[in-house]
Amino acid sequence: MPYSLKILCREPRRYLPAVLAVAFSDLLITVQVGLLLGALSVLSLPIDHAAADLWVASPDIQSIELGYPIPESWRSLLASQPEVIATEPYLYGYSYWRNPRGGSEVCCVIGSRLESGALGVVSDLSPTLRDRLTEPGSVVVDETELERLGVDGVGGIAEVAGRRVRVVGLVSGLKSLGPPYIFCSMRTAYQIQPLFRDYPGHTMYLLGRCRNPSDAPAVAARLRRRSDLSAFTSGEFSARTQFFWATRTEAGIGMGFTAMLSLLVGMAVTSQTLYAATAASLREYAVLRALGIPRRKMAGLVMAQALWVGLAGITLAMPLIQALASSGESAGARVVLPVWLYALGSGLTLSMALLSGLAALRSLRLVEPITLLR
Amino acid sequence: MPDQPALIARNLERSYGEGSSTARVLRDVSIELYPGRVVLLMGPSGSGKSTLLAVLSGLLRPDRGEVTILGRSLWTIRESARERFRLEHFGFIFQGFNLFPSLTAAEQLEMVVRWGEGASPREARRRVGAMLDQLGLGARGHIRADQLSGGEKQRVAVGRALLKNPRFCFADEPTGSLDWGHGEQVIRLLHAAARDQGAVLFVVGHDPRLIPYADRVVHMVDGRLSDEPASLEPTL
Ligand SMILES: Nc1ncnc2c1ncn2[C@@H]1O[C@H](COP(=O)(O)OP(=O)(O)OP(=O)(O)O)[C@@H](O)[C@H]1O
Ligand SMILES: [Mg+2]
Repeated sequence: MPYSLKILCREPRRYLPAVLAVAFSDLLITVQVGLLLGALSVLSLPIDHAAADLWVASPDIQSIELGYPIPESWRSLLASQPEVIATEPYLYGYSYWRNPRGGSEVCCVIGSRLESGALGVVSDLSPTLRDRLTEPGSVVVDETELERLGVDGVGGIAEVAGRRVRVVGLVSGLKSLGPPYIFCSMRTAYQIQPLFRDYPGHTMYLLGRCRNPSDAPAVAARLRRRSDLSAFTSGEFSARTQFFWATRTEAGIGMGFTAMLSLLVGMAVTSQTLYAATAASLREYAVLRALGIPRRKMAGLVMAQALWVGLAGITLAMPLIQALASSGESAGARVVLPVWLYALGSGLTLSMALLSGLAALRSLRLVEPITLLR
Repeated sequence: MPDQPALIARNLERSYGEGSSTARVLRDVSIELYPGRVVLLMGPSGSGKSTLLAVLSGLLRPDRGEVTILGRSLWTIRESARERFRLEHFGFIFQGFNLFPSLTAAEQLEMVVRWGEGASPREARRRVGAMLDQLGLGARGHIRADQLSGGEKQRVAVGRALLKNPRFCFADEPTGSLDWGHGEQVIRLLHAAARDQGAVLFVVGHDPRLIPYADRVVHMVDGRLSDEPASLEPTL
């Protein structure tokens, strides 16, 4: 075991503040980004929960909400791509939900094909629900939106854009960040979505499926060469939607700022702890210097301690992150923690710890053997 | 005298401060140190003993004068060369124990050979084991410094200085913080090292009970060396 680690293990109280500071920074950054990813992932739920590999839309589209109707006849263009084995239209647009208890809500109408193997329908809709949705005027909503929509549950009646609709089923986990999603058939969507009344023969999106999903990027790139449309793989479109909201809402910027702050605070505590630990051993280091042992050996010890403090901190942070995330989930906040996020948090805080070590190295300048002779 | 001096210091001058507040701490100090001998430097507090030790051992540059060690002029070579010189030839014992509190007795010593000479862990363990036995600490090697007694700590510090078989060992009041029983143990160890290894041993101390262990006793009075104690010197 190296001396740096021995000292760290045998004087845990001295190094604890630094370990906690690293763990705290890691925790804060990871959970914060996880919460943002969770919030953003809701925005692209309809994309992520559908079976389509390809999304074709109006030109320069930034996000799923910002589409504009395109001619449904372009379906043949999509279908003519040799890799594509299925295509279908997809309606997405806002409408007004008259709350039976008074007032109204903006809602987001999603109309898709429903048969098994359909590309647009969210996979969360069970075959029974899909069956019920084929009845014109029937809709499915997320169970958490009932209150907001003013209906009691299945069987509830309301009016959307002047048409009577009936809630025929509920899903969970499809709560939107903004206007509630109203899932329905294409036919119902055309009736309750005012925009499409004015655009007969149009659709908001055209969805495609490739024989081999790995061909999707090439097909999307080929289609994108046309200037009158945009085309993405589902992954690209999902990321684009999330990225748009992360930057548009400045949520990303605000979060970057807090992450930076937590790194700075963590670094202040860590470097101060390491500095104090080194300063406490100045006389011991001075003896070693008198004996001719080069300063870089001591610098190596301080840097190694910084590394151990960093590793201890990120190790401590792991279970805390998971505990905080699951308590957040149970409180209704979505926290998405991909592996790369753990790596990012650990990498940032470990670098922070090493930087703190570098900052603490200045304490070694105080090491002077002559101070031992008085 | 049959053998050559290993260290020759000539006309050393050193003062602290500037202008009217200048304190001349070393005044024209010259001394020769021989291998295998223990020189005990005594004198009243503030007379410049530690300052002389620092100048002789390459830790404090004199204002004037020359220190020649093993034929080389200590204060004209580069700082890095002086550092290497200390690494190869010098051992130090300072007042206080200056041990890393949470490292064991053995680790304090191993650190010096591993970091100083790049010795392998096995080689370091072997040499440290032998040294601890010699110090009478064979069974205490695994004890943390903060759990050792004062006498044991100072013996570890002695071991740290002697581990590399230095040709010079400088000790500033090595027994100062110990009761005489432990102090005597320490000076005996140092004396034996000088005799057995032919090392130059330069000890600063003011306990008269150290005198029997010295081959030569010099006195520092007002920055000057003399072979007589201060009380016999006329004061100005
Ligand atoms: N860095 C310094 N700056 C100014 N004056 C100093 C410094 N170091 C030592 N002195 C002065 O030089 C004089 C000699 O100091 P030195 O430490 O050599 O004495 P000493 O003989 O070792 O004393 P003691 O027996 O108390 O250890 C003292 O008057 C001290 O105040
Ligand atoms: Mg002194």
